[in-house]
Amino acid sequence: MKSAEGRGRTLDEAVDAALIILGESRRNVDIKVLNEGPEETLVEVTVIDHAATSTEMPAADGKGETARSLVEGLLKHMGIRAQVTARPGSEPLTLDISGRDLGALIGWRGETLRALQSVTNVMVGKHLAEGERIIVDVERYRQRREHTVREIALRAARQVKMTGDAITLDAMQAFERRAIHLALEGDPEVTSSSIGEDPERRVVVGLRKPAAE
Amino acid sequence: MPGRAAAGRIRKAIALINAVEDGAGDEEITPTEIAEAIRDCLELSEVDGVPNVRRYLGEALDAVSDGMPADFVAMTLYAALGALQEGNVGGSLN
Repeated sequence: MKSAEGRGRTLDEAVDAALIILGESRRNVDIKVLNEGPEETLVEVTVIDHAATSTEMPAADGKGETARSLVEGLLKHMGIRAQVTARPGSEPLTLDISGRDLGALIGWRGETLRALQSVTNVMVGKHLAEGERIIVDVERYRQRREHTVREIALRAARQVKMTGDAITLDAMQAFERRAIHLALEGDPEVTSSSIGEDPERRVVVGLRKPAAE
Repeated sequence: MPGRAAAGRIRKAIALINAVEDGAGDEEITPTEIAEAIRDCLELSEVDGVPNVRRYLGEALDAVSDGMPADFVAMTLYAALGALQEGNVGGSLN
């Protein structure tokens, strides 16, 4: 598979740099953040081989193929024309739905996508091990949101370090809050915590208090 | 807009389940809290104005009590939300 590394001040800039090298669009790539710092972000961008994905998956992973065909059938009944592929090597198993005009499938703040994921997990449940789940993504919406909120987290962290004041971010879903906590957990200067109640729960980024000696 | 408060409470219950499923890791959510959020929805009289909403909410509550998988509870709550939205065609509950 073709891949390239990209560097930039922000995650978007780093991804764009790699995409220029590869001559690809965001839709066809998988993005892995190798290093994310206040000054520079390093990413590895890999081109997804859709043909290989759709032909290899049935033999490689029966569970993936079962889930893929169930979702494909469900979308067909919904009158939605889209391609469903199991993301290779994804853990947890991730199904990517791609096609044209799939905004309705994402819904308000990703609500319809989330509902589709719940239905998928219920349908495939008996094939899954205890605690195992399937993630459903439409046009990489979830992945893009994670990248966006991580970018927001790093920007907030920079500002907190400069001003010393805590910043309360917008209300976010659990997977987005998790992405923020993970993005900042390695930063020795700032800390993140959540306040409020779902679905208005927000992450607060503040200065880390020095450990008591 | 009739149904807005009910939609808000259903979304709150769904968000609690999603927080458990996504492992946001910033709070401990118990089945009791999820059940309470569903009971809060059932307390609203407006759920009686739309067919099936109370039934789906009741099923979701039973599912929590029976220890059914979180996705099953979420799916039932989405069904309640969908029924509520269908009952309010012409208006948005977003």
